[in-house]
Amino acid sequence: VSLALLAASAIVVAGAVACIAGRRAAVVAIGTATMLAGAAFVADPLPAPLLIVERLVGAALAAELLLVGLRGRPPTAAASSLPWPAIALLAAAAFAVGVGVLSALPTGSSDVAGSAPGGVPEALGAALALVVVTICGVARRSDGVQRAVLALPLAAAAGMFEAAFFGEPSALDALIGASIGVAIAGVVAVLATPAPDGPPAGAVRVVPDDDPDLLEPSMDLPPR
Amino acid sequence: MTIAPFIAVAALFGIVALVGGRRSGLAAFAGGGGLAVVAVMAILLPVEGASTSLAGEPIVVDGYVRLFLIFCSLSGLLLLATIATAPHDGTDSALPGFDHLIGAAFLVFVGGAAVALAVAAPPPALGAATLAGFGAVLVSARAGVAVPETEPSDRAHGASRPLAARTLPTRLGTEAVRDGAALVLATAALALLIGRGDVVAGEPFGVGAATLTLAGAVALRLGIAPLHVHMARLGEAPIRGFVALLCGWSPAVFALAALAGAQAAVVPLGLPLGLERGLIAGAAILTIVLGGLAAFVQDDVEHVAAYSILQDMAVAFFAFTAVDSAAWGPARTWLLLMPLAKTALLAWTVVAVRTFGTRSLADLRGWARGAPILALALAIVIAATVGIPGFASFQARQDLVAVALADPIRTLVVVLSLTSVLVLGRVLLIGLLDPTGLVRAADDERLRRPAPDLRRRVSETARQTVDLNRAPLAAAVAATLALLAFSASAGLFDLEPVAAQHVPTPLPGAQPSTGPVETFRPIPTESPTPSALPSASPTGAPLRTTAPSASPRATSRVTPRPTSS
Repeated sequence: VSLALLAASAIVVAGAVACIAGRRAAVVAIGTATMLAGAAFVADPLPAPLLIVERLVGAALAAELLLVGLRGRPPTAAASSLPWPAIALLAAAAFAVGVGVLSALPTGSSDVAGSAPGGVPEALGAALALVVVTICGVARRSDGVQRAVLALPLAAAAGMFEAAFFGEPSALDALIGASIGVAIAGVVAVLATPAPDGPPAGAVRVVPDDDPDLLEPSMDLPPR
Repeated sequence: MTIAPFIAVAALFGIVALVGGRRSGLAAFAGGGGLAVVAVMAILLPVEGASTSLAGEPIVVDGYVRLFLIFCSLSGLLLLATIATAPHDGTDSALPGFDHLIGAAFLVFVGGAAVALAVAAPPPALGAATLAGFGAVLVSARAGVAVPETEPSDRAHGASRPLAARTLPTRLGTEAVRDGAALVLATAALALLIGRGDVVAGEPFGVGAATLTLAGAVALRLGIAPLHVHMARLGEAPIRGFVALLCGWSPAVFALAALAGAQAAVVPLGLPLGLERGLIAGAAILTIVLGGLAAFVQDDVEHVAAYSILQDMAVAFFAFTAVDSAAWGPARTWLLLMPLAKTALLAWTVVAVRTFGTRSLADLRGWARGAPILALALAIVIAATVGIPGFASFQARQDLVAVALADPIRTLVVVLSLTSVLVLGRVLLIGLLDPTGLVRAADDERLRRPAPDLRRRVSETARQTVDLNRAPLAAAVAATLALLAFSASAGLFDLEPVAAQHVPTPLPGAQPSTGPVETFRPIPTESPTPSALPSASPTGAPLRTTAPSASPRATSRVTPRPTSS
């Protein structure tokens, strides 16, 4: 287990917790940027500098889109009924499980020339932690914007699984990973945009009687 | 020309149409004209026999990729034309910019799909397929946030009928999460199967769990029961033009990428996996039955279309029960034909709803009498969906079911899957009954000319002529789209042979075996001699560990393996 990889993984998971549990647009944006940028460094061996820059630019763009899109909305309430420390602890447990499982497996010869045999335990731990964070965030998310935010840690988790088992990413892989983050952030930003002739952000919504989607509490309700 | 310019042009036009603004002429040109340009570029795309490289990843542009891109862009163009010419009813297309957003959605998607289908290694292919899906969701969200919360077109129900537009952002947000979840599941499954961690090590239990995970990811995207609820609601969404992408083309591309992964990582292992394959086949059968039933009892034509999509797309799920490469060709054929046929069905739905101003089948009684071209379009869609013996669609359906099931269940499931003819035939039969007042009051398909006025400009005369003939024009375009689907379904364009080509080669960690069970026994007590199995480990370790070293990223599905269709 490498200390640098552990630190990078911790940053990724911390960013995911902030992304999911953040109550303000800036926190969500910074958490996302941290998560997506940190994910570029959870790899063994490290990707080429150009690919890292590619991921960093993608992370910055995604954060910018989130910041612009979510700025006009009321502060997003915490996603889960769990407070962020509990989510962080659950993520830490999942991280430990991932690291432990892969470290415990017998390491054979690597299939990939120049790469570490047996996979990257820290990346697997981070992937599992991101999935757990997302599962925590699913609870009580009835709003489309908040649901779309959940796709960000999922996309990062997919990248972590790849980093854990597939070795150094290609340029195309890095480009696709960065683009997915930007696309999801774009979805969030567009969904957060109020309709031109629609009710202002924070207005009470009427629940249609034929759709149970909105029977759950909505985060669009105005603050009392 | 290689595929890189195609991707660049599609992405460029798509982004211009997306960000160009709702009233911008440039955006309108980029949406419609861009699709036309991309369709021409797809037709001119050369089929590359050997593997080339795109940003460090080996890619193969075979005939199937070319056909897929041609059909996808052409169907987008014709769907856009249908929506643009359909009678205005105050809903989606009445919104400025809605049309070119459909073009933007197809352009962005086609660019991503080109990467997903051409790239050889499964992990980036899955990523690209998901990226294409996110692109479609992004543009749909841009269009969806402006959809009005009431539907003035629904004359039969007035303004009292609640519209699902209010929940559209929720559905699109959920779609984004589902896309992300499917990507995680599929990537994790492939990582376990072919990753360097050697986690499942060819053991039947691990391979079975990974196969189920991969199939679960595809089930999420295809809307396989019991994960179908969201997909059905998305299919009913009031962004009619985008449903074809979200519920048809996008899941199809993801399923194709996942199928390539399964063919390269699971099939070569030769494991029986009876329980897992039974579960996958059971879920597919359940979806076919429930989808057909749900579509048959619906009164809303959009709901009928949504459940019909679920029912027919589920047939492709049988491909994940395959024990050999027999499912490769039929699955690829099906996953191209069904999105095409369903796009034509959705185009028909748009025209019918806009022409008659209602979505209720009870109020649409007799619609076919006043709209014969539209009736012809639906009849062609039915023929393209079901086919007749000898058609590519019919053969692919039979082959896919045969991969998973044996007689007599196979025959029963084929018959059940053919109930889509009942679902859509019911809509056609209702159209032949005595018309309702609403249908009588709607515009028929007779051509009209504006009153002569010598002082009127030619452009104004043309505009008025189009406005007066929106119903027949839109019906004709929808019928053209249906004809395109029918011709592909009939086996033109050599779809079946090209779909059966380029079976994925085994990836590291998934070595072909002559004796399936013996290969993965930890102690090969009954295994053939090493000479019979050259890759057998003399120490008795699982054979996967002695696989030739090669990166999963570097292994491509480039080995031409002609398969008779």
